[in-house]
Amino acid sequence: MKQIGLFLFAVLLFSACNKEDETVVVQYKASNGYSNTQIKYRDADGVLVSENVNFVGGEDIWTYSFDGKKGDIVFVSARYYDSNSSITLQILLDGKIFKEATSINETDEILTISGTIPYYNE
Amino acid sequence: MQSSIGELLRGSNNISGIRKGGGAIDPVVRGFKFSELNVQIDNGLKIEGGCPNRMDPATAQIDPSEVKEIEVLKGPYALRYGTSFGGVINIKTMENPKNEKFEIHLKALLGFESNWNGNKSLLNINGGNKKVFFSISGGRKKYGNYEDGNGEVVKSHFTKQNIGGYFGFRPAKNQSIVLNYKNSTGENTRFPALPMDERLEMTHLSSLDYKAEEIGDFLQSIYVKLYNSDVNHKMDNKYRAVSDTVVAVSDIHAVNRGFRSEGAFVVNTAKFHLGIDLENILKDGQRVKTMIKQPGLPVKTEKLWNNGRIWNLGFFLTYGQRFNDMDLSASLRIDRNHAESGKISITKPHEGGADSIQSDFTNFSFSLGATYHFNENLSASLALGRGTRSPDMTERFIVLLPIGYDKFDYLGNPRLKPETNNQTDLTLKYANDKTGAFQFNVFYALVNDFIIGKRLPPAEQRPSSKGVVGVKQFVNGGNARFSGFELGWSSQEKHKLGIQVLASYTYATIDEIQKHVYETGLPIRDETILNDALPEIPPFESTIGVFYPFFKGKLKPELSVRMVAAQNHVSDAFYENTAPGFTIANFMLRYDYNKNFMVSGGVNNIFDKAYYEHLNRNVVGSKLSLYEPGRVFYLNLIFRI
Repeated sequence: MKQIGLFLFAVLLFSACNKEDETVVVQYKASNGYSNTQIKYRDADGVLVSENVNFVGGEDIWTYSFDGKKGDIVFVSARYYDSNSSITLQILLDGKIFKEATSINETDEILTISGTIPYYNE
Repeated sequence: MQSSIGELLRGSNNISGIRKGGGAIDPVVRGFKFSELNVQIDNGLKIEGGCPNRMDPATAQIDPSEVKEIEVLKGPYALRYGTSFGGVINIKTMENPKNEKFEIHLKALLGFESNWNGNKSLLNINGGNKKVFFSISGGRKKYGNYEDGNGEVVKSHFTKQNIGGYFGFRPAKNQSIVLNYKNSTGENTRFPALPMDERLEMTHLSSLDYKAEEIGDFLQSIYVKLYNSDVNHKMDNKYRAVSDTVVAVSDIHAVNRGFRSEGAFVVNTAKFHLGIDLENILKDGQRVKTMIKQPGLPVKTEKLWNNGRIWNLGFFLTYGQRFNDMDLSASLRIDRNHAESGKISITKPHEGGADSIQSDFTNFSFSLGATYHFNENLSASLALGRGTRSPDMTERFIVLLPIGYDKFDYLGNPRLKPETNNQTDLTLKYANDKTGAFQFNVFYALVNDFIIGKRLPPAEQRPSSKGVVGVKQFVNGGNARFSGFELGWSSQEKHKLGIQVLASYTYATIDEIQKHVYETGLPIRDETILNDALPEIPPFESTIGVFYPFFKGKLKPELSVRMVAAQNHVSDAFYENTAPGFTIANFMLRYDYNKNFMVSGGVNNIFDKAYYEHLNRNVVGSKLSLYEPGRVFYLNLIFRI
């Protein structure tokens, strides 16, 4: 009988310690730009950071990555001033595209993509 | 075994519950709810929930598997346990064993429920001897979303963990000191009938009890309890579509600490309890809104409570005496209640006004009771009581949140007066060996200064939440009346076939209330309605249970059928929906293999009926009520050594 008790004890301990992994690799990606572009993004500490990135050609890519947690806000925006330019923004979670948007010749618009890292598929 | 205490209580006569999600059903006793009920743990430990929408009522902080007994005292009669208005619910979790030799026991439980893939586990180790005793428990529950009887998925998942224990010792004969600690953690709990979901709930409960019994002929016993409850509640809208635009996160910290002390005295054949209790509630919280669609990622912080504080100091005296054919009882209670808050503005809540936010009240409550024993089988009891409660933290200080039954932001009112319940109960009991035991009770309650929401004109106050149609402020709305009955019959114990029948009904109205008339979705004028139904009052219902033990009681099947009538007496002023009646059947089988191993299993809602309780809140963004789970098979394994 004691063995059964110990077995149940072990099962309970195991089930109580079963914790889901909360970490998600977040990557912001900007591409398809042709001019100086102001990029704002929410970093790993939740701070809004602003960077000026000079895209010389369409193959230039800007990225920023950090380890995020489920439920964290992810945010990136971009603005360019050259009316012949464009920009594509992506947010990737664990390598998969979560949000994506493109702006072409829209100098009056600030392109923004954002969301919260999903907890899990319901 | 039920997944929450609210669900467990819902099986009792004239006790209902408000469902807003998978767990945390909020109890309603004879139509009284929220702060109208005095809910406490182990004779006096009180909990102030963090959530303004009551995701975390006191009953949600204790797991049913920890419960030894739940005492429900209906009406404003029991005044020893703090302010009593609609009733007292005392959840007892501690035992005080007195083993001759030191013993140690283990209890393990594993449970599974189909439909929402509910898993639960509990491990308890307890023991002791004449000098010391202890109990240590840990448990975990994880439930997914359930399907209702229509096959629709209700997003209701939750995870809950409980850990804690108590240690007691007896410094002298008939004295005991018990130190108790419990921790409850809830994570990712969905509430489809509320605008947010609970992300994290962390509750710490601690208490120290001292008890001395059989002291002498005059002073019989002394009881002292010190307690502290600490709730951290975090909720957000991240599961909701609206979070694509605005991410709202609310963080609330609520503390309730106090004490209760009483002595029992005997003078001739009369027994008295004289005591004092103090409850001190502190609450602070804010909501942070991040506008994630806007380029600068603007963040707005709004206070939900601003260091709100309420303390209530009570003195009580109770009397009980038995004469030949008559039992008499009486209680008297005086409460001094003080409330204050940091700077809040009722008229411009987020602009930091300076309204008067302090109030002080002295409340008197009393009750009288008499039971006449006609013979050893038949007795009749009459009770009269007046219970006064001061407004709670939400009614006084909440700043614009949609916390009611209707689609309004609610605003606190620091100038609210206490509400008073004047109630009478008449109870008849009859029991004999042939007919079994009958109990019939009727009650009538007149509530003065009933606290209810009243719409503010848009020019005076605009709402702050999405999807609401206006703002209501808590006011004293005159008189409300509750009446009803409870009927119970259980077959005689000597027969193997056991039958139990329960039936109850509550009818509640408010003398005068304003109805807000709408055009194109907006309120345009108010109309006065007399004797309107109060919202969230349960309909008539009856339950019949039948059981028959086999193999000397080792195997016990039990079938119960619950019949609930339609609720057509609904609030016109609150635009409350009527609810259809329903009948559901449950079956349970319990098998005691030996003294160490027990199995119970069964099926709830056998016929997979699609139904909802009248008190279930509507799903956010729709006019549909939250449906109850469809058919659920369950199995529990309990092991004891």
